[in-house]
Amino acid sequence: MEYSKKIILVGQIGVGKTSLVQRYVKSIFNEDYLSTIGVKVDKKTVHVENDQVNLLIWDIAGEASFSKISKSYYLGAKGCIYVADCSRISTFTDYVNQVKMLKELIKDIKIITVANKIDLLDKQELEELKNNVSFDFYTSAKQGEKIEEVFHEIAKKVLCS
Amino acid sequence: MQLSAIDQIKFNHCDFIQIVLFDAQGHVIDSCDTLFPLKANQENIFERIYVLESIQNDIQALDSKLEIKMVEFSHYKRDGFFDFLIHPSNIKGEFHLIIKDQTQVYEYMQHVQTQKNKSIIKNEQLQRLNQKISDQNQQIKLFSSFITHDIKEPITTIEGIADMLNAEFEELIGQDQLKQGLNYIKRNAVWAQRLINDVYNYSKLEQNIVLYKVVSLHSLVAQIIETYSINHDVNFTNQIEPSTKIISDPILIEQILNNLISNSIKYKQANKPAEITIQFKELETEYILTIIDNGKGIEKTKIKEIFKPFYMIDKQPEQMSTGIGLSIVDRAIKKLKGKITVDSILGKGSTFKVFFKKKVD
Ligand SMILES: Nc1nc2c(ncn2[C@@H]2O[C@H](COP(=O)(O)OP(=O)(O)OP(=O)(O)O)[C@@H](O)[C@H]2O)c(=O)[nH]1
Ligand SMILES: [Mg+2]
Repeated sequence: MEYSKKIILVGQIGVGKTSLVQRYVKSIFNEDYLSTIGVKVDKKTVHVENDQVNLLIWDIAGEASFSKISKSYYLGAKGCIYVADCSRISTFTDYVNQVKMLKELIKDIKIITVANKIDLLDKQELEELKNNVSFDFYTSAKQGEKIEEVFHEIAKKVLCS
Repeated sequence: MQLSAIDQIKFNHCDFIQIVLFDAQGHVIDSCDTLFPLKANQENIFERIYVLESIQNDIQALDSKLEIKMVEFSHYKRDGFFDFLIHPSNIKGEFHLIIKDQTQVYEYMQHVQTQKNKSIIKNEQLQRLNQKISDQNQQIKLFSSFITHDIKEPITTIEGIADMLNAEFEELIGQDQLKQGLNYIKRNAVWAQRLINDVYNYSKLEQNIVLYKVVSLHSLVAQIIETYSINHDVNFTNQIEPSTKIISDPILIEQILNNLISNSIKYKQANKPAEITIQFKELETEYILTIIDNGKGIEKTKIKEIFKPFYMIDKQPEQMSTGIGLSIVDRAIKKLKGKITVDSILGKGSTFKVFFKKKVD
């Protein structure tokens, strides 16, 4: 069977949402930061067992992630990837509340949490982070680490919804 | 249900507008513009524009206007920014769709937003760095208090007891070995205290801010000279004009002079008294303090090393040198935004020139 499912990426500015999508869709990484304004929409097809899922990926600007205008971007979303930057504490101190808020705002949304930029931490720092906060995935868009896994997991989750 | 849509696309280069009508399945019913790519006429708009594909089901249930602004995506393989406006028409079940190409406007906004975000992130990083520094300073404070109280105190006690034993049991102690032992204890206690003082001063230098004041340089130097003249075999020449006044941090200047003079005395030639001359010169933007000695001199290859912490020119315990004095000089000079140069001839002596900037408001 073939399905089209909309997923959104949210998280604070500069955490690497666009970079995760670029790495996943185009297999590229850009060191230069160009902020997203509004939303950037991409599409990629994933196969989950015998099904084909057209993931319609809405990468929402960090600037707009939790503002009023973002409501129109949430419309019809079935899944959400919440992204934080492990090198910036401020991007994950409030993530539990923000995830809760998204669940209240978007009916039946499936959410997975991602701590990106693990390449900026050394082994010990990463262990410490994992002990203090628990994200579903620890990724690096720069090194292409765990990216396929994140999108495959969200595709699997939205397929059940 | 009928869905009518107006696909209004303004390209930067060819600048044309299209109005296209679609049916409920998204098939093109009519296009009023022949510029519209023919192939696309047969396609389903929901597949052609995947922004719409994502919300296809939700549009059908829409009962009021929906505006989705600032949407960046590829349209006909061209990246751009578009505003989507979807609203129900007067006829029930019919919708209008307007897609506006806003690339030029939003590209500019994106540039501004990027600058803004970059500065927010930089600020955040600076704040974290400040926090880290303040944590470190707190650690240093704890460490300093640990050194001054917890380590220094027992050593002072040892020194005191050695003195007391020496005084109280003079007859008993007449025996050479015992006396020697007590002197040894005393010497090591003094040495340990000096080490602690130097480490303490060195670490404290980093925390303190520079406090500028009017400094009477001649009298400051005279005071230092007086202290050293009491116990050492040294002749000083203070060539600074008595009326000389500078604006600088007297504590830092004192630390620089103290350690340079103490260094010159430590490394004096064995067979003659130390001769130390102190000079001062004021230039347009900076001051120069010069300390000239007639000591052993320093090998050229070692000059760079001597300002590193714990470095000693020749490690002999009788020098009573901790190897920190010149690092304190180096740190203090850096705090005054200055530099130091050393000229030295082995067996003749050394000249230390300290350059430090005048304060500008
Ligand atoms: N070292 C490292 N840098 C990364 C990684 N992912 C992204 N970056 C960098 O982080 C900066 C921001 O990345 P973006 O992907 O634009 O961030 P964003 O979350 O989309 O930001 P907004 O669009 O403003 O919300 C860029 O300079 C990227 O190169 C990563 O895994 N490791
Ligand atoms: Mg982005």
